[in-house]
Order: sequence, then C-alpha cells, then structure tokens
Amino acid sequence: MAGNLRYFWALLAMTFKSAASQRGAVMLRAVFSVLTHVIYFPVWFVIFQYTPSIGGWGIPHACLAYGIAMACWGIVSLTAYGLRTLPQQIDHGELDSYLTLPKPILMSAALSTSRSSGVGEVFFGIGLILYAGFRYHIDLTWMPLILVMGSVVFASGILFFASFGFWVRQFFASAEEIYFNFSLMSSRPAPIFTGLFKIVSLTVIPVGFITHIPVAFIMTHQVHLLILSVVATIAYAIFAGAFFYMGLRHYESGNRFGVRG
Amino acid sequence: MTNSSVAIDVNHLKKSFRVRRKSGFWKGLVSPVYDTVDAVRDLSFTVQKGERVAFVGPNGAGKSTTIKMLSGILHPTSGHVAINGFTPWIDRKKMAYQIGTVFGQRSQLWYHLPAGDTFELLSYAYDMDRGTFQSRMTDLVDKFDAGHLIEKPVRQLSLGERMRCEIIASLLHRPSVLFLDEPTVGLDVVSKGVIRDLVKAASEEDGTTVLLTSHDTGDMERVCDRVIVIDHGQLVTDQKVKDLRTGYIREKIVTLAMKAPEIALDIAGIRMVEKKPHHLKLAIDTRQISVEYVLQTAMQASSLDDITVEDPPTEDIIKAIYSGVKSEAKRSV
Repeated sequence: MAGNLRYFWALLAMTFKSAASQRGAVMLRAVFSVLTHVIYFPVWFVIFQYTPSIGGWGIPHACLAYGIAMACWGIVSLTAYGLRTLPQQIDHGELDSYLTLPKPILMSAALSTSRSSGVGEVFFGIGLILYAGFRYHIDLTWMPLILVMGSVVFASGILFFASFGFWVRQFFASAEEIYFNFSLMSSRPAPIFTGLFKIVSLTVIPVGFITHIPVAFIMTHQVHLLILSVVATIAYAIFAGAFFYMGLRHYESGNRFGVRG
Repeated sequence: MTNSSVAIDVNHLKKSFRVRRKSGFWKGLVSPVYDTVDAVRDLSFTVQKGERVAFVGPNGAGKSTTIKMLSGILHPTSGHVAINGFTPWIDRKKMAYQIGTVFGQRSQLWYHLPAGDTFELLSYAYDMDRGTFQSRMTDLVDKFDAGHLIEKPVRQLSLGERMRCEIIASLLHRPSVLFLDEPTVGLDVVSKGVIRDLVKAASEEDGTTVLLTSHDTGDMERVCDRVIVIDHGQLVTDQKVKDLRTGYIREKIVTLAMKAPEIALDIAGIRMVEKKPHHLKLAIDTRQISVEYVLQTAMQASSLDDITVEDPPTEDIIKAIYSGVKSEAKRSV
C-alpha cells in the first residue's frame, strides 16, 4: 500500500513535469481555456436576467454548478487525462508495459498523461465558486468534498465509457463525444433535466451527482442529499473500475485487434 | 516441482485467438461469426538460469505472443508456464519484480522528459530504496556510456540512444529474466552492434537470463548461446547456436581465383554459384564430396591464386529451417 502511494505521487509528479515541459503551450492553453469560459458563462447572466428562476434555480445555482463542473473537469484533465486517452492506449497496445509493472494498471494508465488546459478550468471553476460564495453569501464549507466527489464521478464516467475501447476499435472519437456531454450536462441547471433525461443524469451519465444534487445540498443543507452523493460516487467508481477490469481481462485474452503479437 | 536452476519452464503452451470473420456490416453486427486462429500450438521448452536464448521465427510464427504470455501480458488458452517458479498470469505482480521487458517497437520512456526521470519513476514502481537506485543507475549509465543521454529529453535521442536507455530502464531493478522483443529493429549496423554487446555484457555480469526475439540473425549470433526456432506456433528446432551450422548446413561455399580462364569441374555434389573468367564460386555438398577433393581436382586443372572456403550465411540456415527443408534436401533440388 505504501509502495503504491509512493508510486502514485511519483507518477503524478512525472505527469505534471511532462505536461509542464512545454511551458509556452501550457500557459497558452490555460489562458485560452479561461477565456473560453469567460466568454461563454455571461450567457447565463443574460438568461437569468430574463428568466430569474428555472425550476427554482437562479444565477447563484448556475454559478455554483458551472464552477463545480469546470473545476472537476479541470482536476481530472490535469491529474488523470490518461483516462480520456484510454481507448487510444488500448488500440496501440500501450497497456502492455503497465502489465509488466508490479503496480496497479489503472493507476499507471490514468496518470500517464496530463492536459494543461486543466489549469485554466480549475482556476476558472474555483474562481466562479468563490465569486458565488462571496456575492450571494453561500456557505462553501463542504465545497472541497464536493469537488473531490465530482472529480471522482467525472473520472469514473470517463473510465466507464473509455473501457468500451476494450471491445470497440478506434473508440477514442466516440468516447470524446460522450465526455463532452458530461461536461455540458453537468454545467446546466438541474431542473431542465426531466423524465428520461433525469434518469440518464442519475445513472448512465451521472452528472446529477457532480453538480445537480451537490448544488441542492449547498443551497438547502439537507444532509440526505450529501449522503446520497457520497454513496452514488462510491458506487459509480466501483462500477466503473469493475467494468475496466472486465475489459482488461478481454485485453489479456488477446481477442482484440492491436493486442496480438 | 520447480527445478531451481530453471528460469523459464514452458509446457504444452497454447494460445488461440478468436477472429471475427469478415461479413457485411449488419450481418457482422447481428450475428458475428468467429474463426479460431492458433498462434501458439503445444510449445514446450526450458531455459536455464543465466542462459541467453534467441527466439526466432518468421512473421506470425508466434514469437511475440509467446513472450507476451511469458511476461504476463496475455493469458494462454492452455498449458503451463513458470518464470522463476511463478505463473505469469496468476502471480503477475510478484513476477514483475523479477523480469525486465524491452519491446523494440514500444517505448517505456517518457517522450518529453529525460530518460533519467523515467528511471526514477521506475525505481518507485519497483519499490527500490533511494541508495540502491542511485548506485544501480550510476553503474548502468557508466556501463552503457549513457551519462550524456539521460539528461536529454527522449524525443531528442536517436533510435539507438533511446534503445540504450530502454535497456537500462529494464535492468534497473536487477531482473533475473530479461525479455527482449526485437530490440534492434530499425537500428543501424553500428547501433545494433553496441546494443548486442551491451546486452551480452550485462547478462554475463549479473547472470541474467535473456530471451530475445528477433528477425536479425546477428542478434542471435552475437548475444545468444542457444536458439529456439518456431514456426506456425510450433517448435521447429532448439539447439546451441554453434550447432546450428553443423546440424543444418552440409554445404560449403568455395571461391577460387585461377590462373586458367576456366576449368571443368563436372563432379556430383558441386553446384555452380558464380562463373567468370579466372573466377569460380561453388557450393559443395559435403555429404557427397569433400572440400579437399574438390580443391585437389581444381589444382590439377589449373594453379590457383587464391582459395576461400566459407559457411553459408546464418540467414540461409534460418531460411532453410523456416521452409521446413533442411539444407541437404534444398541442395538436392
């Protein structure tokens, strides 16, 4: 366990070092990432000016949801971008070298890459959360836990869909489309998801546990919402991990294109 | 029971892949049909500790599939494998501390960072303490003359330099078994020579068992003591590299430079390879006729300026083995 933890930190440091090795590109991507959101987010101010409440959600909710979604998305991009590139790693047989190491394969694969635009997303997301906290007098005590949980759900969601790459060739582009929906849905007001969309947002693409329910908890302080989020986060992470290892067994069987020697 | 002197023990190893048969889009989606391809069929061999063995075969022979099963990457369909007593697909984690792997077509080095950084990361992967890691890395870097390489980002290294770093990375944790899959692929002649010598020296010094796959017979001759040839997933031959010539080649290549413009050597067992004025190149079937007799006959016909007697290139031996036809049969055609 201690050995795994040391390897985890060393791997994380290596990933950051690798991403930071092209300083100019890192800075530019971070700046452009912040700019994208600075340009995009004011649209919500305009919408809420004309419609002050969407199913009980106002601009403070929207700020929190958008901030949490972006910060979590950024955290995952920075620390575990390898999850997003997993279909490519599978296609190129890159898991082979992790399989010969005495350390967890998922850890090695997830932390193998970092995406520098995540810095901008984290800064923008946290900035927006702090703005909402000060501007609308919202208690942010639970925010660190919510960000951790949101990042775990994002990471698990990406892991689940990326693991289809064990069975489907060249799944990378399709997976990217699905990840985009995670980002999109999690930053939208919860009340717009009704019926089938609500079921989807709490099951297959569980963005409800990244922003919708946590935001409701922050605004109402109903503990059962936090407990629900914690349980769902753990359950989804276990489910995604199990699905990955099921795929890995398929990879180890060699009955897949690109794996054979 | 595991014999303590055996590093690699392979018994009746089989690996079959399910391959989807090509059909129309909808048919393939609704009712896919699969064929079974046998990549490795009933393969058995053992490698003693400290031995260096070349694992040779044509494309698709099952070399890489076998190495992947031995290193715990692929699970076999049936059969038994023990690497230092560990079953790779069951004891993968424990075994990982005892093996090193180099896949010539894949890198374990971080592309944008100096190789030294990857070495440090690997030291954590193998739970090495800082002191042991530092002294081992210094030792290997000296031996591989790689001091100037490990500070440069990997993307700036040539293929040969990168391969030197790959091998250092695979030896850092003192593995007792080293799997090398095409370690010299794409390298120039000089780099190949360097890599071969370094692998051999490192193995001799630490007593590391080496199993090496390659298409290059130079790797086999310069690094290994023994060669296992497989084809269609089956063992074709398993013998000492030096015995390969005597076992498979009964042919000598004799080149004569003569005073006379031409001589007649119409003797059974001689095949003309090249004929020019004052020059003859002959392939002699040593089962039918001795080299000495041919030379005596030639000297009776003309005085000779020069004589060269050579074995055919090893590649020809391997080709003969691949085709399943021993050299004597080949020559009789």
